[in-house]
Amino acid sequence: MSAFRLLAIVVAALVLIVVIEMMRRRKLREKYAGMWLFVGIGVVCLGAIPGLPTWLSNLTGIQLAANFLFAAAAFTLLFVVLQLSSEVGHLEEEVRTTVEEIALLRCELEAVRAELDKRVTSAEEQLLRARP
Amino acid sequence: MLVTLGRVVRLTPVSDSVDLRRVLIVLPALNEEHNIDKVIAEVKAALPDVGILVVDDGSTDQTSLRARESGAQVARLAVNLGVGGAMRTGFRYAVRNGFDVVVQVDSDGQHNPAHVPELLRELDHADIVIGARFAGKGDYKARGPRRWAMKLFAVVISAISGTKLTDVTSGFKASGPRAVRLFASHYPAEYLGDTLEALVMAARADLKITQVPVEMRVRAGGTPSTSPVKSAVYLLRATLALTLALVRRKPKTGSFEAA
Repeated sequence: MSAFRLLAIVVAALVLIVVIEMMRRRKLREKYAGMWLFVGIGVVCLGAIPGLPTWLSNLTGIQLAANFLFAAAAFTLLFVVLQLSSEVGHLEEEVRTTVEEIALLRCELEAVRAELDKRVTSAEEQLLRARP
Repeated sequence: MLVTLGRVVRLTPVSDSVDLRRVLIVLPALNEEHNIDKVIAEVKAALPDVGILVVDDGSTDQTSLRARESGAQVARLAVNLGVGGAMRTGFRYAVRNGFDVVVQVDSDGQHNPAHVPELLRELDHADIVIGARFAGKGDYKARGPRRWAMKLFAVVISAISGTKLTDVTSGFKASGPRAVRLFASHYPAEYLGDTLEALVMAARADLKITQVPVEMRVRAGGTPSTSPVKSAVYLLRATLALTLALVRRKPKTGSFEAA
């Protein structure tokens, strides 16, 4: 086994370990972890199985195995970025809804407080008047 | 009501079917501490019974305080959400507090609240009434790319809605009960979403849109952007916004009800 192959496997394994550890510490939610687990396992396979990159590149008609790997990596990252963009949009919508909701609650709170003040004052006045 | 020579003369210039107590004037405001009290006073003078909600879109000045002092209800957004977010807050407030009609009026003094009754009267035959700037009244003019863009958008939205509209980017709008219900759950927050996309959405939901010519006044504070670069950027962004609005699917009703 060449030193390079060993390096590839070690790096891939490291990615896998980091992902699993982050999941364990609840720093990564399962919907993103799934994606990274998939990527990690894929990298380990590509590094560990000697003929796999060449076989895959032949299958897709790409002449150099290295080019196949670059293309695959680029597409994977593209997909990841796209997914993150959509998640950010979703988060923005959630924040927006929350902010609107808070504004309305604060508005309601003020109205309720003003009403309460008025009632307390009128009740106090009544009490004072009732007393001789 | 007086009847003279067989013609009905209204003492109040407001439609019979619209009860003013169920009309909410929403004033989206961003750093308008110098104008907000005047605008609120004008609204009160023109329409004594209406509800007034100022949506403070994350202002860093005393807008909320001034508005409250002037006797309006104030909903203060903790972060700046843009006109779309401010208006959806207004529509939600309307739904929760039993208002049937929402009228959007800018808080910079551009829109004259005296025109609101004209808008309300048209609500008898439509779900959304736009106070249009180019429809013959007033001398509001736009030039260059901005003008072409506005013309183009007017043509496109007219085609979708089936009514002739000349000013689709106006912020002066009255929404009837059906529109209020739709917008309380789906009001676009994106760039120009409060004008173009909202109208596309309304037209897709089979709401009737119409317009009334109004005069615009000069903004009380600040100058409108007129540099050619800004106009070009406006044209591009607005075109993108409109294209997106056109290709987007109709919102599923009820999906945001819980939100």
